[in-house]
Order: sequence, then C-alpha cells, then structure tokens
Amino acid sequence: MMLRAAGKRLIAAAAAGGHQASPAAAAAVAGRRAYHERVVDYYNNPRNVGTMDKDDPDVGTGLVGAPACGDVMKLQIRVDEASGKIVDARFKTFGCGSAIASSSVASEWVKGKQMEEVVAIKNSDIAKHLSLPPVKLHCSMLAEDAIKAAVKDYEAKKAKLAKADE
Amino acid sequence: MWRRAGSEPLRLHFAAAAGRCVRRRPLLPLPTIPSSSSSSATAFSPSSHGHRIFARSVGTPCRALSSEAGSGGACWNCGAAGAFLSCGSCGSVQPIDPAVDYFRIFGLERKYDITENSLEGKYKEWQKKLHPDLVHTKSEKERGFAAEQSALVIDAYRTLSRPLSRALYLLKLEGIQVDEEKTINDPELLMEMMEIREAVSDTTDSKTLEKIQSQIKRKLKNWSDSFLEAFDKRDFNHAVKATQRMRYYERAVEETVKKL
Repeated sequence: MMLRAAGKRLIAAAAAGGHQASPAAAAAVAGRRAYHERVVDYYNNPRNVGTMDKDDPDVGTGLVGAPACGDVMKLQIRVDEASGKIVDARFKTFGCGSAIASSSVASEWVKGKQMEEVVAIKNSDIAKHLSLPPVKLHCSMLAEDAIKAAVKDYEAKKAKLAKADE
Repeated sequence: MWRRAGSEPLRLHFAAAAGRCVRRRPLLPLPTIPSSSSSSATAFSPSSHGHRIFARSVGTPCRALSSEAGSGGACWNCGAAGAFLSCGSCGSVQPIDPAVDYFRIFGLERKYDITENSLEGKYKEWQKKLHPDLVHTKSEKERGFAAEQSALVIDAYRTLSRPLSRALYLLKLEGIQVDEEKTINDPELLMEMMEIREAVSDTTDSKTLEKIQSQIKRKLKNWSDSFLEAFDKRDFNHAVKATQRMRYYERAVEETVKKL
C-alpha cells in the first residue's frame, strides 16, 4: 500500500510533461530528470517487501535513517546458523523512489550470500545498477549502511545468546 | 556530526559597491547583537579548531565583525550612508552582500522564537523596493541588483518563516554546519518514525489521519522548544539533535498532509 501511494508520486514526478501514461513510458518521455527504468521497475514490481520477526534469533534487523530527507530504511535478513548464509531478506523503506529501489536491490543481493560477503557490497555498485543521479547517491549509501546494520544486529544477537548460555 | 567553525567571533565580509569598508549608522534599527558574537571567544577554548571563514569572500579588502557587516554601506548612486539593500535617499537598489544576516533584513533579533507573522509585512515592504518588475526604467546593472536582492529577500523570508529552516540557519550563523549526509542509527527515533510512517500509510480515514497529524505536530513543537532551550544554553550537540528530530517529524507531517 505504501508503494502504491508512493507509486502515484513517482508517476507525478516522472511525468513532468503531464503524461499520464505508464511509468516506463513516462520515464522515457520525461527525459533526463526521470527515474531510471530500473528504479521504476523496482517501484512497480517490488521485491522482498515485508517484515520478519525481530525477536527471531535467526533474524538480523538493520534500521537506518537519512537525516537530510527524513527517510527510514529497514532491512532484515534471515541467517542459517549452520552455514552462516543469508537465506532470506525483507525490507521496508519510507522515502523516495531511489531509496526504495536501493533497499530492494540490497535485499535481493544479500540472499544466498555469506555475511562476510554482503558487508563488502558497496553503495557504488547499487548506484550503478540503478543509474542513480548524483543527488540520489546517498540513497544507495543508506542501503549499504542498512546491510551492515542488519549483519551487525544479527551478530550482536548471537553474541548475547552465546553469553546467556554460558 | 556537526563541525564547529573557528572559535573566534563570526567574521562576515562586508561588500560595499565602492570596495570601501564603511562604518555607518545602519538604516534599520540595529538588532541587539546577543552574546553570540562577543562571548563565543570566551565560551569555547581556542582549541585546535581550524579557522573557517563563514561567508564567502567577495574580494573586498577589509573585514568587519558581525556587528558591523551587512548593515549597509555608501550608496553607489548618490553616496548616501547606510544603504541597506536599497538606498534610503535615492531608492537605488544596492548590490547584494552575501554575508547579510537574514534577521537583519527583517529587523529582527537573531534568535529562534520570533513571531512568524511579523515577517510577511516586512517582506512585502522590501519587495516594493526591490522587485525587478518595479525597476524597468533603471539601468541594466541596477536591474541585475534588483533580481538578486529580491531573490535574497525571498530566500530570507522562506528560511525564517519555518521553524526547522530557521533553526538550521541559526546554527549556520554560529558556524555549525550540520552534516546531513551521514546515516543515523538511533534505533529509538527510527523505530518511532517507522511506526508513525506505517500508521500514516495504513490509515484510510481522515479522522485518524488528523489525529496522527496533531500528535506529530505536538512532538514537533516539543522538539522545537527543546531546540530553543539547547540553543540558548549554547548546547549545540543537543540543538543539532533537536533539528534532526524536527526534520523527521516535519517529513511525517508532510506525508499526512499529502494524504489528507
């Protein structure tokens, strides 16, 4: 529902010329200032939106914010304890199209990877994938921080549980 | 999170058209310069903070302290003293001084709790003197000045009329640049914002939305008061934190407004 409401805003933003066509067409027509196709795609076909149980011991929750625009981004990962692999990921972001797309990309990329691998994911990779303009680079940075925060949270949880068992 | 400029008093460059540094009786009532400029040297120990000149230099040879700068110099047209934005004697629009204090434009004290209604009257008054539409007959140079001055006054009006931008501007005058690019990790604030934003996006009826909106506005007011307190005490860490919260709440209010 959040994305639908935000989707309308996107169309308004992308269709600078007043076109009410589909976002992809609007993006193409509106020219340089439009969101890139990929961003529009992530907007219309959101991947991995959702919430995991924060208290689940296998779940790491990364919650970050961008003070410049008042955005909030939550990225959650489910880790397989035995292998240390991230088996599932969900995100929920309140912010602009670029922020939502960045966190969606992040949620896709972390799946099936080891935690040590995902902390190496750079914001520049995400930005490149989405062709983010310079003014939106901080959105990809936010996504990178969210990944790290999720991993950190998971590891902190594990450490705490390990201590409790002693 | 924020960088503190040099511990010396704020240095503003004085850009007189004639390139002279002139100390004149200002045209507008001089707002009482609070302790900010004089005591800042004593309030903070001159540690290893680098000196950072606040305003951009416009190539003038002299510097003036904050109490003098931006108060208007000699008119380029008639030479009358104290020409602030536009000359009181001949009405000529002056070139802009980028170091001018927005508060001075509106004849206000440099503080946070101003009466926002007082701005509009003064704003209109200035536009009557500075607006480009009113200087058709003047020289190209003066029309250029008018465009810039008018834009400056608009910017000043916008900055001062909203609490958050006013707060950030006050911090900027103190030399504190809030680094907004840095991600924040405050779990308490973020979780609260998540909940609020979720509530806003999930609600469908306007009554609940209005309720949420007034709740958020109340919180915004609280943090606004918190900023005032912190700023007056010159507790800039807390002041900056308050502005961050204000930003988040203002954003949330925007979302409710969009939906309503």
